Amino acid sequence: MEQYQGALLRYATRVLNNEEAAQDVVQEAFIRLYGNWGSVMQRGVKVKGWLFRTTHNAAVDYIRRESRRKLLHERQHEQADVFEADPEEENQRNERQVIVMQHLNSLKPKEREVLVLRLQEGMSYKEIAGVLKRSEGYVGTLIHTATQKLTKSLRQAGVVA
Amino acid sequence: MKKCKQVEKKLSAYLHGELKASDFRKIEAHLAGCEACRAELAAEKAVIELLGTALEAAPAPVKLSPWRSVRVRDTAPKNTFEKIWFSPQFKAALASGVLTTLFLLISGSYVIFTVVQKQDMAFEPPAPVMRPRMELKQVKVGIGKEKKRTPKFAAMPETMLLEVDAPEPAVAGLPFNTEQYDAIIENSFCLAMQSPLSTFSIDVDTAAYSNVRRFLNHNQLPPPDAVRIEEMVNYFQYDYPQPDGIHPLVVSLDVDKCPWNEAHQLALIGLQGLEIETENLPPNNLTFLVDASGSMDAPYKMPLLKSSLRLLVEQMRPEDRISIVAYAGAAGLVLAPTSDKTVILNAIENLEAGGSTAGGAGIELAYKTAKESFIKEGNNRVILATDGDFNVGVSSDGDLVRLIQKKRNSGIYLTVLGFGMDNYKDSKMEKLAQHGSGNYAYIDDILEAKKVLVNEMGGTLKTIAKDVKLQIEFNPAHVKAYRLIGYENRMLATEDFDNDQRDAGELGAGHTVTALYELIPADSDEKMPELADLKYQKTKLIPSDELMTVKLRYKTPDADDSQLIVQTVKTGISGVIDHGNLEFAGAVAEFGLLLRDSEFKANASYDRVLERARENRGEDPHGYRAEFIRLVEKAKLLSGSGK
Repeated sequence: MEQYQGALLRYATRVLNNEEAAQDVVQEAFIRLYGNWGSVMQRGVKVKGWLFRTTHNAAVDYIRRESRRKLLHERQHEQADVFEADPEEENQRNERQVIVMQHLNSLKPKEREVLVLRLQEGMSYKEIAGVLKRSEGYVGTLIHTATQKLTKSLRQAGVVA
Repeated sequence: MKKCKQVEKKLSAYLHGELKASDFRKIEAHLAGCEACRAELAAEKAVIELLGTALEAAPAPVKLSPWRSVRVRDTAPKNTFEKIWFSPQFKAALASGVLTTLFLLISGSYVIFTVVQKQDMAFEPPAPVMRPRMELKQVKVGIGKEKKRTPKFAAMPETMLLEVDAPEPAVAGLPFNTEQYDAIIENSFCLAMQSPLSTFSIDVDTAAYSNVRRFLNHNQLPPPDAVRIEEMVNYFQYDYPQPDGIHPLVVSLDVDKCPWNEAHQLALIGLQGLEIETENLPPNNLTFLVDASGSMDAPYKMPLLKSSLRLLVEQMRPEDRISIVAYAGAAGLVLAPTSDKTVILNAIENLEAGGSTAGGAGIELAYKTAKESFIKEGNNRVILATDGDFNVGVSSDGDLVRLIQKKRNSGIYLTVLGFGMDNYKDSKMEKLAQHGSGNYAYIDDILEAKKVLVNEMGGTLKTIAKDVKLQIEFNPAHVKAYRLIGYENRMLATEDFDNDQRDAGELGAGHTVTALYELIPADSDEKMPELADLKYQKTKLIPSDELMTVKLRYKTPDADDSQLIVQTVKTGISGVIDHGNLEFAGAVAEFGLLLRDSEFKANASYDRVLERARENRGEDPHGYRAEFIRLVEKAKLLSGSGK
């Protein structure tokens, strides 16, 4: 199972914009997998897809919990700052990339999520639809709006033409 | 304008190759005639490409709470119930328990067959390290989402990744202690009358000592098989005379009473390699082969590895070249051969651990890189830094040894630096070094890195004699039986000594190698196995006052034929007035016997080890002998014996 750990953690880290929460969420997904091992196996489900969906669900739960405490946005920004503030780390990364990540983090979690699943995990619209339990059309629209938002804000920031 | 709005909505899907054929053609047609939409498309494409690389480079954890288990054990706080219940270890244990139970339940019934089959199918070929990324340039109807597979080297943005071999990773092991050591069967006494010849290859490794130190520093006695006595003895430099003749090395001999058995004698054979001033050393062509797999992702591994390599780079001279190959799920050339220190240091800084370990592919690529920048007359060397936990591709000990053996004759030497604990594969690394014309050291802290890479850089890095073998003939008139202490995995057959095809150990500039024999004198009344009563042969002794003859064969680094050195030891006074070397080496060996709880330890005692170590500390410029004394004191306490 360790093989999926890295991918799931990257995904959850991007969606939640918080490394520690990502650890919890992925841990939770694995616990759920083991708890449902029999049924998952019997239905011949693809473990990878199942894990991504479960991680997605756990992440949604996390975000709900957090927003119920009305902390979501403040906290996310706080944590985003802490998370990005490692200067040594930033030096190593391309400046443009850092800016792009900042703009990505200003999108809604679900918008971030579809972009991450598409670009980082290389999933098709159909696979993403499977993870989100929504239609392919919904995924397409979400990706479109997310990309447009991002393009707009990056254009304003002068990163793209 | 209205059309443009319609088209805009579908641009993302168009870019991602997720459009139906009919829609795709419509968009194409519109784009051909609409500059505004083409610009929009270009911008979106740029954003997506940028985001793709940004996501790739963005930091994210690669493992679930990777090394908490170590912490818990080290600091050993009393676990409260809650702590245990909520600890990830417990969850994992619980989960695997549930798993096992389920499996047991299922396997009891007929269903098992189909279930197991389904399960196999359910595990689609995993994509853990090899993260798929979409290819943006090929937008084609229906098949636009061709996936490009890129190996994941987290935060190694500007590197050249040369894919060599990316086999499917195996499911990695449990976070428990999975260190591996090969069992050591100690050499026992041989009757000099029956087999007067003892043949072995020198061993310049020192890893066992630092590994033993690591255990003791963690308040544990080392497992007996981690204790290779010759490596402990060879950890220390001894005060042997420098070679001054035609040979680049010289043999020193000494015999005295055996400290742990009064009725026995202890013979020392010491080799001293020629010292070469650093400025006279030939140029170095070093290829770092760095294990960047997930198992290296621990504070006592990767950061230590980086600081160790930095130490070595600081020593670099302008004529030296360094390249870096990293391997995780796939092997990649991180740094092409260069002499620019800043570039090298940056590359080291950017190394990050993640993924499984394709050691075999890494070794291949490292040797290839070393060969491409080969310096004739230079010191060409691959420096492998790893915890040895290879789990992808060629990974069995035997296969790796064969792989290394093939590389051995290329004139490229191998240095193995071991890091880490818990999953430390001592057996694998020792074999690699042994078969790869190399040496092996265990780096447990930055001071050890300094010892290996800075203080002994000349010796570790510049080979002055290769295939160094020793053959000792004992005179049965004076020696009833003998036992070589340590070197268990370096023993050679008698005929191997004169066989120049047979590979053996290398001696570095300024290095010393020490071997000890425990001897039972001929007049001893100690009970030994009876000599076989031969019917057709009679052994006739030739009168001689010699105790033994030491023969040594070596080759100069670029020679194919060996040179022979012969020296004898007479009985009685050995001519050596100062037994300091023998005393200290004997103390280290005795310590090893105690740690191994050897059947030959006789009256060995920590107290006497301490006494002799203290008396023979000598100058000890780096404090290694003082540290030895501390370790013996610690082991004495841990073993709970004042013996």
